[in-house]
Amino acid sequence: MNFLQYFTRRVLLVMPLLVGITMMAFLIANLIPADPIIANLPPNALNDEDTIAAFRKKWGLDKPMHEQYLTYLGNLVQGDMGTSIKTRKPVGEDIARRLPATIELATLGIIFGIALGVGLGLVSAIWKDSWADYFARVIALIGVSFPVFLIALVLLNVFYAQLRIAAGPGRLDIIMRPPPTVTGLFTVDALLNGDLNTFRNALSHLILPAITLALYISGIISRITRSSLLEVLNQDYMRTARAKGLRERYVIGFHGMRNSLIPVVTVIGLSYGNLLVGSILIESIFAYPGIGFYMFRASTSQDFPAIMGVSLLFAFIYVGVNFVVDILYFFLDPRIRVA
Amino acid sequence: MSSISSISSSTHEFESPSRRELAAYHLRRNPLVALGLIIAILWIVVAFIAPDIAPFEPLKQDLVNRLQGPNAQFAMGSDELGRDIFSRVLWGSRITIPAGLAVIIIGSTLGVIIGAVAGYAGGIVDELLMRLTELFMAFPFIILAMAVTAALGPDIQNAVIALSVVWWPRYARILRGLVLEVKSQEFVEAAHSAGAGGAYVLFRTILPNCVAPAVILATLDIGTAVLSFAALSFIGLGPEPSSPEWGRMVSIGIDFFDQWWMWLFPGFAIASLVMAFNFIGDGLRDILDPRLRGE
Repeated sequence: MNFLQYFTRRVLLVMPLLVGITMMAFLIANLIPADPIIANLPPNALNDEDTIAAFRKKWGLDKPMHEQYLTYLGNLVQGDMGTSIKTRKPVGEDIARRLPATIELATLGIIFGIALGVGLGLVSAIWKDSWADYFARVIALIGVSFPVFLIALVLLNVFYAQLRIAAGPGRLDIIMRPPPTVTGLFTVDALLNGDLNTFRNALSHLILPAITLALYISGIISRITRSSLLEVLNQDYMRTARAKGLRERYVIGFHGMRNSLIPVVTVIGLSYGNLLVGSILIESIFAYPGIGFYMFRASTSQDFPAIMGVSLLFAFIYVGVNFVVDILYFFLDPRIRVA
Repeated sequence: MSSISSISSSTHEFESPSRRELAAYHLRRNPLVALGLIIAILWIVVAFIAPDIAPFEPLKQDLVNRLQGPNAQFAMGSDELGRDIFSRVLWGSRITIPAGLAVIIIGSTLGVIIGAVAGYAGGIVDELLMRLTELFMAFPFIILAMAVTAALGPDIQNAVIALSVVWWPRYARILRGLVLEVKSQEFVEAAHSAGAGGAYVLFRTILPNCVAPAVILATLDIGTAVLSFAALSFIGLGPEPSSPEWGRMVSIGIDFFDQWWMWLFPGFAIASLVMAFNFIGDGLRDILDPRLRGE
């Protein structure tokens, strides 16, 4: 199978999934609440006949179910996910404004997380049953067992409140002005603007939440790396590689790592789900104004349209990331090309 | 028949001491399993006797003594309304443990049934159920649970329902595979030819041979269920604010960041319970499925 065939097949598999997700979101939004009007409009608008009529018309609530879904889909394609009860702005607009902050945090978090997870997994597989192995496994255990909000609070308390070596809540110190918007990522924009001061400040605000996120996702990554590499290390071809005189570094780095990478890549894709959930819990503690914080505010104030909007976005991102993982398999696993 | 049962019972007598030895051997080799068991049992006992051992009522306010740090009177300090954190943490086990177990029991049962039916029926039923499973797996499951809870209205019961509703897909997948495997074995054919009906064969002949992996997965999952429930209630999609639920207590504690006892102790309660279940689950997997041990 060549790459184009493989790619097309994957795309064809993802399409129905995306449609299915919108259907599911539609069903949750329209079937479960006792009354979608009460769920979606602010309480004080419920006495206003005009607002209610406009809402009915916009979402086609007087029409049969399948037409309602098509209306919903039509609105969605235009980026219309309804109006937030809390901010009174369109949910799509709210999300777009907050997305760069979360992308910035999530990117840094996943880089740290993979580095930490794969690193710890490697160490504990290569030096199995040594003190380094136990240390790495304890870290992994904390990552999978401690609630992420507890890790966030402890880090914030120790490194910000006590030691004062990390910046506190928010994306920048209050006295700092955000850099001119190009990408919306403060660190990148500050660099583009040649403003090292703002860059350093933005980065120092990112460090703690990113480390929390990294700890959270590295637990599962390091566990899978360890068990996957241990399995590979026992294979005959590893003995062959050593027998033909390859250096240990090369044996593990090339033959070992590459063959143990597939489950690791899978779990990185899956842990993106954790990353998204983690962003909600972590941003809420660091008062970091991204999508997660928005979702937190929406949940605590029963802002139903906002909750549905963010859920839909997260499902799309999740499917997208796992699609990329599927594509990566093609390069990691030569067997796919034969099949 | 009688001769067979006498043989099997004599074999059983022969095996049973060695089984106990085996268990002891595994516990010695996996001291963490023993530790996990001790902590989990301790929490379960606490859940039963919390009303008797808690020094204060979990909801009793005492505004004179609000925001006290840990001291002789309030072992874990008091919160913003002067409620005793220690008592609330003890009472919290009565919410979190049943909630976590309920999610696992409902979710895994649902998954086992759906997966078994899909695998056994095959054809269009299988196809439909598996597409549905994939659809549910396309959502990060807590996000889906958040949306469902928000739609149902936040409370403990709805959080449990929402988590159960999103919990089943992995079980369905695994069970389907196992049923497909077992379905083609001779004893199933024997049951069919003895005239047993489809449902009887599936639930009495095939399923008993498939549940072990589901049980391992369920044990491994309890920790995740507890964490997910805590996360839902942390973001306000669980019990009402005054409830002595651990996740909720942490989330209220954020506003009192400097009064670290308000969030640290409930947080540790969650962590200790989850860690205990993870120790047990990991150990169980190592013992029952040595292939995963990676040796």
